[in-house]
Amino acid sequence: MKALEVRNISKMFPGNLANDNISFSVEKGEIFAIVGENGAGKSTLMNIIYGIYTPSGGDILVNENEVNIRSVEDAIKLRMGMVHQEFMLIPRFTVTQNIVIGDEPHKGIFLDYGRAVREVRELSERVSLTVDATALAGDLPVGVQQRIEILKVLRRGAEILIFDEPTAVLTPEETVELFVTMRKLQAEGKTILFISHKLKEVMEIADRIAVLRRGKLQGIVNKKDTNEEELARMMVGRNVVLEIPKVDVEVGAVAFACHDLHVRNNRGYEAVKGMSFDVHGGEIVGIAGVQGNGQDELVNAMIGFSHPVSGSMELNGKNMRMVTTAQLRKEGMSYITEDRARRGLVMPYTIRENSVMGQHLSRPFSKGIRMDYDKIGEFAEGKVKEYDIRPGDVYDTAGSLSGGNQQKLILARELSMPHNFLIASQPTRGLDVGATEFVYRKLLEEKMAGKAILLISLELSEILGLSDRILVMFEGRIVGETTPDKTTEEALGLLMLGVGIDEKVQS
Amino acid sequence: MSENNFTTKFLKLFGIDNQGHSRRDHLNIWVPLISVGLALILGMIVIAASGRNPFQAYGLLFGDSGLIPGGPAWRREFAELLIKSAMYIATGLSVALAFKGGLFNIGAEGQFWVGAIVATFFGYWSPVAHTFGAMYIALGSFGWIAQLLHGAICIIMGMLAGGAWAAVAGYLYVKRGVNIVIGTIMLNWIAWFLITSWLVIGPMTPPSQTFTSGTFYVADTAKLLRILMPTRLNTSILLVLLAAYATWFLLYKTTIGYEIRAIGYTANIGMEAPRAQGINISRRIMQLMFLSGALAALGGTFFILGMQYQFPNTAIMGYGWTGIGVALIGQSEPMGVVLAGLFIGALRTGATSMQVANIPKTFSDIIEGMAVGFIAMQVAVRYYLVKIIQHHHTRRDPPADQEAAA
Amino acid sequence: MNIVQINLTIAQMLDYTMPILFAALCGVLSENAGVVNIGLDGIMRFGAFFGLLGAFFSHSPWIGLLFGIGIGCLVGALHAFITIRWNGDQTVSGVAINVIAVGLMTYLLEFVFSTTGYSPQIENYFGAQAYRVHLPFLARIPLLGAFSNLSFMIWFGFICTVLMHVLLYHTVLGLRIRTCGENPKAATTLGINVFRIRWFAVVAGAALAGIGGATLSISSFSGFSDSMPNGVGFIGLAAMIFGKWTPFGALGAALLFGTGQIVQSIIAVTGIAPKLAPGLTLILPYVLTLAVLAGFVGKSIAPAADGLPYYKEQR
Repeated sequence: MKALEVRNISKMFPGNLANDNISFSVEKGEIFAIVGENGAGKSTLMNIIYGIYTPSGGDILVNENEVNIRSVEDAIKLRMGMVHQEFMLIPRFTVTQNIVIGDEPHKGIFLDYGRAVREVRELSERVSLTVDATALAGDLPVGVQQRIEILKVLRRGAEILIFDEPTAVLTPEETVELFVTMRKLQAEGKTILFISHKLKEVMEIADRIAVLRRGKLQGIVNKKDTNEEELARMMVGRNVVLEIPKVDVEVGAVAFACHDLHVRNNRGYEAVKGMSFDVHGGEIVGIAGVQGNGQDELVNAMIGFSHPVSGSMELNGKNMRMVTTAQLRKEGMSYITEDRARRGLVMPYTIRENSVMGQHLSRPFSKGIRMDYDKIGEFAEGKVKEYDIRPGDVYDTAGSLSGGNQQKLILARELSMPHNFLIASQPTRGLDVGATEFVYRKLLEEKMAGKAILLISLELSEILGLSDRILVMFEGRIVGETTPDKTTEEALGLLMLGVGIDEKVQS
Repeated sequence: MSENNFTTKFLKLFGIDNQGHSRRDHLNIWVPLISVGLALILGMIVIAASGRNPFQAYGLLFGDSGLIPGGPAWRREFAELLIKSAMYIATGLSVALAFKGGLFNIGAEGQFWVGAIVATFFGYWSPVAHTFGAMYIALGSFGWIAQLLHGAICIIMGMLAGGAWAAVAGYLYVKRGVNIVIGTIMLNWIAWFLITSWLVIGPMTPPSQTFTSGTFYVADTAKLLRILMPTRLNTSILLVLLAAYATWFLLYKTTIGYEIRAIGYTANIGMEAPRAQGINISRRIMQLMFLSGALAALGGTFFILGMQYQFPNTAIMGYGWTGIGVALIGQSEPMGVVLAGLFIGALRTGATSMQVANIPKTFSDIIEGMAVGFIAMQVAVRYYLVKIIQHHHTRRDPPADQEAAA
Repeated sequence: MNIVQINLTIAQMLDYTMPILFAALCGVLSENAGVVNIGLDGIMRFGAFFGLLGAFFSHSPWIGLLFGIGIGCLVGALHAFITIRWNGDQTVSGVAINVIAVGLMTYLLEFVFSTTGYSPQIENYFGAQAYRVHLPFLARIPLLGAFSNLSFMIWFGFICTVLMHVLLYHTVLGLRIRTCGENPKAATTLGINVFRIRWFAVVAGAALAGIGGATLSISSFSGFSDSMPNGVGFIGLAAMIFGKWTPFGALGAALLFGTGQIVQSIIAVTGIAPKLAPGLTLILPYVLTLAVLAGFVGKSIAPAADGLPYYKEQR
C-alpha cells in the first residue's frame, strides 16, 4: 500500500518556482530518501507535506486517500511526524517533560509525572531508543536529543516519519545509531522519508531515492540499481552557463593566508577542522561546498566575528587571529555577504547612509565627529550611476530596493573602500541573470586591479567560471584542490558531496 | 524645486531638504497624534462619566496651560509651562536618544535625581561657593559672569554624574548581559534611596535642623538666571532647547549618531550589519548610555538650580517616568520630544485649574498614561490607519526579503 | 530583647513581606509564560485603592479582597490585550499602566472620597484584631509566636506561594505555561495555544498583584494612602529575579527584602548600628538583584523566551 503519494505538487513563491510538478509515491514500510542540492526544493516539499506550506497546485494522498493538509495539526492527525533539523527542545526540561508536553498523562489537573516517566521508558524500550528519561534535555549530546525528537513524534502515533537533514548535526557514531533506529522503525511498519545531501549515507540506509534539481524531480531510483556517482550526476547536472571571459592576470603577493585553522560554531562544535590555504593578489580562489560544511564559520573567523580556536590567520603578512572587524578592514579586508538583510545593509537606512558604512569615519565623509552628508550624497549618487542601482533615488531606503539592487549597493560600498583582500560569500544569491553578470564583471575588474579574492559559493558554474584555483570544502576541511581546466562540475559535485575522498588532504 | 530661500534653509536645518525627502515611514507622525487624540477623547469620556462637564474642563485645562495667550495670569502660566516642560524635555531627550540606539533607558528618573543631588552639592560646597561668591563681588556689574560659571559647573558636574550612573547600567549590559531595562530600574531605586534616605537626611543636611526641609541651599551664584520677570521663569528652557538641538545634531550630523542609529535599527536582529562594517558596538552603547544619562541629569539640575535651590525632603518621583512618555509621544525625534514635552507641560500646568471644575489635577497623568498606552499599541493603530488609507504607497518590485527565499 | 519583641518584629517583617511576595508571584507567573510585566507596581496601586473601596462600602475586607482581585484581572487583561493580541512592546505597556495608575488613583481618591493624601480609615480590615487569624497556643513560643496573631493576608500569601509552586511544577497547565515561556514555537508545534496560555498567566498574575496592593490598604494598613504602593512593586520585581523566577525563590527573596525594609525598626529596638542610614539598607533588594543578574552571585536564568513577542507562524 502506498503510505504517501504526492501528485503534481507545485509551489510558487514570488519570483521562484520552488517545486515544479512533482509526483511520487512511498510504500508503507519504505525508507525513502529525497536528495538534491541547496535550493532544489526538498525542504519546501517536506513543508508542504507537513502542513507548514500549502501547495500552489497538486494533491497529496495518505494511505491512498486524498487529503487536505492545511496545518501541522492536520498532518499530525494523519499520523505524520516530522523531526526537524532544528530541534524543538527545551533544554531546561527533562527528557520526559519534553516528550509529553501537549499530551501529558494526568490525574485531573495534576501532571502524573511518574506515569509519564514510565510511558517514556516503555516507548523507549519498545523502539529500542535508549534515553535517560529523567535527564535534562540540555545536558544531553545531540544524537540523544534527536532521539527525544523521534520519541516525541512516535508518542503521537506517527506512522510516517519525516526527517529533515537528520545527520547534519550528528557524529559518525551517532549516525550509525540513527540508522539502526530507522531500521527498527521500519521493522515496525513505519514509513520513513528523509531529506539529505549526504550521498554516502543515503546509499546506506534508503530503499529508494528521489532526486530533485531546481524544483523538478529528476528521477527515482532503487538503491540497488544505483551508486553515488550517478546520484551526484543527477543532482548536479549542467546549469545555464554564463559566458565568463577568461582573464589572465599576473599573480602577486600573498594577501591572505591561514594555516591549520580551527573554528567553532555557536553550538560549540568545531566546524572548521584544520584548513590551510592562501590567496594571492590578482587571483580568485573559489571555495566550493555544500551549505553547512563550515563555510559560514570560516567567514565569521575571517571577518572578525569569531576567533579561531587554533591555527593562524594572516592578512598582508600580519597576524590577524585575534583582532576586531575594524582592524581587519583597516588592514584591507572587504566583505560581500549573501545575508543582505542582517549582515549586508541596514535596511531602514537610505542608500546614501548605507553607501559609506565602513569608511564613514574617514575623509571626505566625515571630519572628526562631523559627518558631511553632502559629500556622502554626492558619493552615493556617483555609485548609483556607476552600478546602475534602481530606482536611482539615493534617499530610498535599502529595504525598498530589490535584492539585485541591494547586492549592487553592497558591492558599491565594499569595492569603494580601500582594500586588497575581498571575501565574496555567495555574492549572487537570489539575483537574476542581469545582476549576476554585473557581479561577475565587477569581480573580474577587481582581479585585474590586483586584488586578492576569495569566492565562496554553492554554485559550481560560478566557481568554475570565475576561479583561478578551486578548493573543495567538506565537513570543515579542504578535500580537494584543483583548477577549472583540470576538473568538471560533476567531479567537483562529487567531492562536495563527500564522494570518493581518499584522504588526499592538502596543505 | 531647489530654491535657496529661507524656508528651505530652515527646513534643511532639521534634515528635511528640498523635495521634503524622508522616505522613512510617513506614518510616524500620525501615530503620536492619533494616540494623543484618542487619549484626550477618552479623557472627555472619563470626565463626563464622573458627572462633570468635559468641555468646561478642557477649556480650563488648555486655557490655563500657558499655551494660549491672553488672560490675566498668562505670563505666570507661560512661565510655569516652560519651567515644567524644560525638565520633561530633558528626560524625554534622554530616553529618546537611548531609544535611537535600540536601548530602553527606563532609569531616566534615577539619572535625573543623581544630576539634581550633584548639582546641589556643587551649589553649596564651600570651596566652590565661596570662590564664585568672591568672584561675583569682584566683578561688580559683571557679576552675572560668576553666576554663569557657577551654574555651569553645577550643571556639568550633574550631567557627568548622571551620565556615569547610566553608564553603569550600560556596562552591566555590555559586559555582563544584564538586561538594560532591569538594570536601569534597579539603579533607579538605588539612586533614589541613597539620595532621599541617606544624603538628603544626613550628610548633606544642615545639622541644626531636625525635621528639615532638605539639604543646604545652593549659593546665589549657582542659581539659574531669571528671565521674563516677574515670573520665576529661568534659563532652563533655553538650555534644554539647546540640548535638543545638540541631540538632533548628534544623531543626524555626527559619526556617533550615525553609528548609534545603525545600531538601533539593527538591535532586534543582532546588530550584524554595523558590526560587519567595523562599528564598535560595545563602545557606542556605553557612550550612548552616558549621553542619555547626562541629558536626564540636566533636567535634574534644572529642578534644583531653577526651582528649589535645595534638594527638598519632599521630592517625589515623576520627571523621569514622564520623560518616557514624552519620548514615546515624540517618537524619539528631538523635535518631537520638544513638542511632546511642551504638550505634557501644558497639561500639567493647566491641570491645576481643572480643580475649579472639580477635577483633580492628576488628570493630566491619566491622559498621558492613556496616550502611552495607545502608543504601546501602535501596531494596532498603524494597522487600522493603513486599512483606512486604502491606497497607500505600494512599490512595484516585491519586497526584497521575499525574493531571496531560495 | 524578649520573646514578645522578637515575635512582634517577625510579625512586622511578615507584614512587609507579603505585598512584595504577591508582586513577585505576579511576575513569576507572567514571566514563566513569557510575558514581562513591569506594570505590576501600577496594578498594585489599582489593587490598593479598589481593595479599600470595596472594603469601605461593604464594611467587609473580604469584599475588598474581591475588588482587588477583580481590578487586577481587568488591568491584567489590558496588558494582555496590548502585548499578546497586538504584540505591543511589553515594557511600554507596563510603563503606561504605571503612569495611568499614578494619576487615576489620585483622581479617584478625590472623586470618591473628596480628600487628598489619605482615604478615610476603615475599621474592618484584615489587620484589625477581629479579623486576624488567632493561634493563641503559639503565643509564648519564640519565633513561632510571631504566627499567633497574623493577618489573613499573610497566611494567604504563603498559601498562594505553595499553590503557584504546585501549579507550575505539578500540573499539566503549569508545564504548558513554562513551555510557552521557554520556546513558544515548540509549544505551537505540540498543539498548545500559546496566546491563550499567556492570557491566563498575565491576567492571573495581575490578580495577584491586585491582591498585593489590597494587602497594603486593607491588611498592613487600614486605608489607602496616595503614595501606595511606594515602589513595592519594583521590590517585588527584584524579588522575582533574585528568586530565579520560582515561587519559593520569590518567597525567600521577599522575606529577605521584607527584613531589609524594617531594618530601621530592628535597629531602633535592638540598638545595634544606630548610625546606619536607612537608605543603605533600603537599596539592598536592588543591589542584590543586580549582583545576581551580573553573575556575581550564582547564575540567574530567566525563561528563555521571556519578553519576546510571539508571532504566529506565517508562511
